[in-house]
Amino acid sequence: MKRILTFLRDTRHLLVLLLLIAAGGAGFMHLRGGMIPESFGRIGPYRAAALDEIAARPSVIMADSTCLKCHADVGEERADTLHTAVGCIHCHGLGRQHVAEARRAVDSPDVEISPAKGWDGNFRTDIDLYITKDRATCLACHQKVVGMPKEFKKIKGVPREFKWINVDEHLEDEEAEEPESRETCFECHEGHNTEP
Amino acid sequence: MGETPFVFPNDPNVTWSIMIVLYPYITGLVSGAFVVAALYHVFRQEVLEPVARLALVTALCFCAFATLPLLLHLHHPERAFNIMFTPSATSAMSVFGFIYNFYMLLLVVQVWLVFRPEIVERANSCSGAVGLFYRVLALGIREISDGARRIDAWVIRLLAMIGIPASCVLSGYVGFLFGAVKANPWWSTALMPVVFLASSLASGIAAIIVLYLFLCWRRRVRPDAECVRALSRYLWGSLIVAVSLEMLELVHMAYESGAQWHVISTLLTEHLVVSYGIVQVLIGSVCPFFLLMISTRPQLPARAMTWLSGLAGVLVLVQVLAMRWNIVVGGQLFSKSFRGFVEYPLHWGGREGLIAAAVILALPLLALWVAGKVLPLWPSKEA
Ligand code: HEC
Ligand code: HEC
Ligand code: HEC
Ligand code: HEC
Repeated sequence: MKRILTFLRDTRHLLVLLLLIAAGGAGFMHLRGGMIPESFGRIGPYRAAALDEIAARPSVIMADSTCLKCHADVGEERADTLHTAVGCIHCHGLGRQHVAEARRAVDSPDVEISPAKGWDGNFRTDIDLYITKDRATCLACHQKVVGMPKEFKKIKGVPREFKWINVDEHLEDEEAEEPESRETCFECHEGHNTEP
Repeated sequence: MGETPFVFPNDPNVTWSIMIVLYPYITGLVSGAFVVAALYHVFRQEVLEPVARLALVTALCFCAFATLPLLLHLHHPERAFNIMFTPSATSAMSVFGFIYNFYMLLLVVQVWLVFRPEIVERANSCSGAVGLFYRVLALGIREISDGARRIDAWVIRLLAMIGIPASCVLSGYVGFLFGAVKANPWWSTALMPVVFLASSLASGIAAIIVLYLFLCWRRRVRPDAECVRALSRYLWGSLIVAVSLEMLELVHMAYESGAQWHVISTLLTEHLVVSYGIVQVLIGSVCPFFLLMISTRPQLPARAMTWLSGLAGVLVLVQVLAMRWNIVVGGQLFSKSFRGFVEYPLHWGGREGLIAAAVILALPLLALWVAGKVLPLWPSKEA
């Protein structure tokens, strides 16, 4: 009996410590209960409600159909080409301000639509609307690169190889006049109807 | 629709910044320093007595700041706790919170038990606010019997025993995080955890040597030559293991000459020449190897030995930092398509800049200074 008492006396600091740790653990569990969002884990390890919230956000990427409402002529130019697969925003920028301006201009004719700028060569550019003949825009898709899957960008699943070119060979074969120029592709192709 | 963008190079930014370099560095220092303390407590290496307490408190101080670089790296640091509130069983990262907290708790309890006699003594002898502080620190228990001392010694030893595997898990785990990134050939090897573990030990021991010598110099006390010599020997051993493993891994990659070798060899010969070839290998591995080889010779006079060991310690600290840098930043410099390299612009300012990094490395030392004021870091017979 006495030995048990001395043992308890000698270990009470450890008991206090254990109590403290247990209290900390309980506090964590309590906090945890309050911190887990309501819809967490219903579908997977994330907040299920986030899906609807994200879906409700306005779209950043302009669909071609938005542009074509006003630029029907471009639609016609491209109508029979394989390039209907390529979004306007790839060569012209996101065009959000442009669309907003243009829509306002429909109601009040004195609103001026800012002209398109040149491109700064950056695919993540902040320029809202640009027009460019830089070959980099074409080569982003058309240059054959190691590792690019064969079926990459097949239009509507048509089973044929993507139209890749080897730039140097292509320019030589087709006898480009200024193969070094950044705008060389436009000697023979156009932006909208790219068929040579 | 349904078309994937495929623009090269496919990873244009180094997203894991210098903060992610510091994080494994600091955790490495923690576990290395802890092992020094454990060598004394578990393996009864009595020569290490002069640094045993310092090592333990150093481990605690660095551990307290180990997560700070991660928090600075996060754009929403307030969400950091979600990783523990809603842990994902399949995420290696989510395990970290638990490993870290377990280890931190272990360290706190261990430090508390080791210093309890002094805390209780001061709780009884000091008055006023200071006395109150120590009474709270003593958890209100103001006596310490011989029986309690015996039990404490036993618990300390037990904790140190648990602590050794725990600290191996802590630093090995960091290596695991990198080693498990399948897409990155510079990281994805099973040797990675072991490499991290070995270099952690080296860096922790080096840190204790450097801190001990520095603090002795500040206190105008002659450092215990046997202790420094023993530490140098451990440092030498762990450095050899660490560097051999690092080289083994590289040689293995070179010999295998897999598809990724061309990008890794370009990485090493063109992009990491200074930080890998010169700093990590030449200055950080080869130099300290010879310095320590000389300094562990028993016939060397004590003064020369401490100088050599201190210098070697500093170099090893640099080596391990460079090694973390070369792995973390180096692994992000090349495109995962193995075509093309990117640059990592290191800035002074900003939350992930050099100044922030320097502050992070200084904070544990500041904490150590405070701890030195609150707790007696040196064995009583010396004071
Ligand atoms: C492959 C790149 C590319 C795509 C895709 C593209 N354009 Fe163009 N676009 C150009 C180029 C290049 C010019 C400049 C033509 C010139 O100056 O000869 C241009 C010019 C224009 C112009 C200025 C007027 C004109 O016809 O010269 C408008 C408007 C335009 N594009 C609208 C569109 C719309 C709308 C779409 C989407 C349906 C689109 N573009 C898709 C490359 C492209
Ligand atoms: C609400 C109608 C409307 C919509 C929608 C619209 N535009 Fe326009 N856009 C115009 C008008 C009008 C002009 C002619 C402005 C001018 O010539 O001053 C124009 C001009 C342009 C030009 C030539 C600018 C210049 O400086 O030559 C380009 C390129 C262009 N639009 C691209 C786009 C793209 C890409 C989209 C889709 C993201 C788009 N537009 C959507 C009405 C629209
Ligand atoms: C976003 C990707 C993309 C960009 C950018 C792009 N193209 Fe295309 N291009 C395509 C696709 C997709 C096809 C259809 C290929 C297929 O179905 O095999 C195509 C087809 C073509 C064709 C063959 C047309 C035909 O009818 O046979 C030419 C020529 C062409 N592109 C030229 C260009 C030029 C010039 C540019 C730069 C102004 C350019 N492309 C920019 C994706 C792109
Ligand atoms: C000197 C004229 C000329 C220049 C410059 C030129 N092309 Fe062409 N391109 C052609 C002709 C002609 C064809 C059709 C060849 C054929 O059908 O065999 C063609 C075909 C293509 C095709 C379709 C290939 C296929 O397999 O059907 C693509 C894609 C293409 N060009 C892209 C480009 C790009 C990108 C540039 C700029 C780097 C460029 N071209 C520059 C004349 C040219």
